[in-house]
Amino acid sequence: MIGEGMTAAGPVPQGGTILGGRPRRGALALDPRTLMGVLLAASALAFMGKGVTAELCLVVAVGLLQTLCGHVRMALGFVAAYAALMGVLYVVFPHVGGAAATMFTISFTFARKIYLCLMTGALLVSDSSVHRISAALAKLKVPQSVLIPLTVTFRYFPTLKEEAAHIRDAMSLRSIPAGSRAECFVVPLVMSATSTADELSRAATCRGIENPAPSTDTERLSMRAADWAVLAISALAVAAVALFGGSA
Amino acid sequence: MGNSEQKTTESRALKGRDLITIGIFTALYFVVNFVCMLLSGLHPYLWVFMPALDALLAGIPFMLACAKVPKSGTVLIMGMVPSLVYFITGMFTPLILGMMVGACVVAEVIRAATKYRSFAGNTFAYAVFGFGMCGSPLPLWAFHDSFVAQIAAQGMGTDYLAALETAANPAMLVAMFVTTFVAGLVGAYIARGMFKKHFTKAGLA
Repeated sequence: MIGEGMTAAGPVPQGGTILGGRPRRGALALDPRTLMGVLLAASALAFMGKGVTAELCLVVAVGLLQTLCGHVRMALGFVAAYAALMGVLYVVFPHVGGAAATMFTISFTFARKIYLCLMTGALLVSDSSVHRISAALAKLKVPQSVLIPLTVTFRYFPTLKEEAAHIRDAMSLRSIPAGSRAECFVVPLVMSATSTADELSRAATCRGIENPAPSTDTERLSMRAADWAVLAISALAVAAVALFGGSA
Repeated sequence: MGNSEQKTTESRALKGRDLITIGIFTALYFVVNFVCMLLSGLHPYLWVFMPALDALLAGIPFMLACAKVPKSGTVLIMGMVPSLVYFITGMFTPLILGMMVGACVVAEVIRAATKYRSFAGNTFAYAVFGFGMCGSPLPLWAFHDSFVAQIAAQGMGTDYLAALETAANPAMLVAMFVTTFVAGLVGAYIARGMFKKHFTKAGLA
């Protein structure tokens, strides 16, 4: 039976059927470049003095953005974590004290400062694939010589994890003295990374990575009215905090 | 086939295969870097000396990347990729980005001046490269007042604020840069030990 959003081949994510169409989860489908713009605004806001109310409004606003993009759970999680963070910073640490307070106050305070960036970053990463992000960066004129390593880095992490697990298994079969554990782990890992690099670059050369002409991309990005609106709102937020934010 | 070709044509321009090699070693570097970042959350002092720890441990991927791709741009890319990842995932980066670009450019100049293949040159480049990560704890000084004000507003006691002052005074800033540089030299030396013991034998470097 073929129903809504289903084809004979199986379920197809909504909006993902058309080549270059936007993946659509919620009411808003934003271009990754828009979210990068919001991220810039969040970075600017991070170290501007602002009152607690302003901070709260901003967190809720980004939470709303996450909800509109279809990440309701993420929004709820971040707002709840923010509440917990404030609770710990204002109530637990000053009144309970102890080793934990001296250890974590500064990192928690820092986390509070960059909270908006973390929220937007989480949204950007879970809203778009590595491919979409690199396509967006390419549109922003980031050179290929940075983009290719970037995508290789991203894609190599799973392999790296697997490789590390294999080495750990192999190590536990033998009894290796604790002193040379690190060496016995690092050397095979680096060896395998090196051979992967060789194999991968040969494969990529076969597929034409050294072709100097600009490559075509199935990811077609475009800025729409919603994107500009979100960018405008974040610019306004920065301006508003700069003008009437109140002090830290 | 590929290796002999690479050695005969001494082209300094990065090719697709070089970019992939750099990408792989950047992944290794990034893992070390990220673990150090996570550790640094545990204590302010760990945060201050995180760049040093990073420089101590990340020598192998850096030196191998430099050995495998002795061309200009290797280090710059190796620094830019993690900064971009940190930017995209929302960890505060304007300072890291700035420090990274600065450190990488200086490291590139050092490598170019020493013709890319000298151990001493690469060691110096690596020690300078380590400064890039100093951008992470730098807000402690750069935004010192706003930090202290906020922590005071959150209600921490005066003795804590005094402890924070000692962690964030200018002497510590100098100490951070010095230890990072020294740790970079030591890290490169460790990497060289590994090269001699394993990698050269296996024909990697």
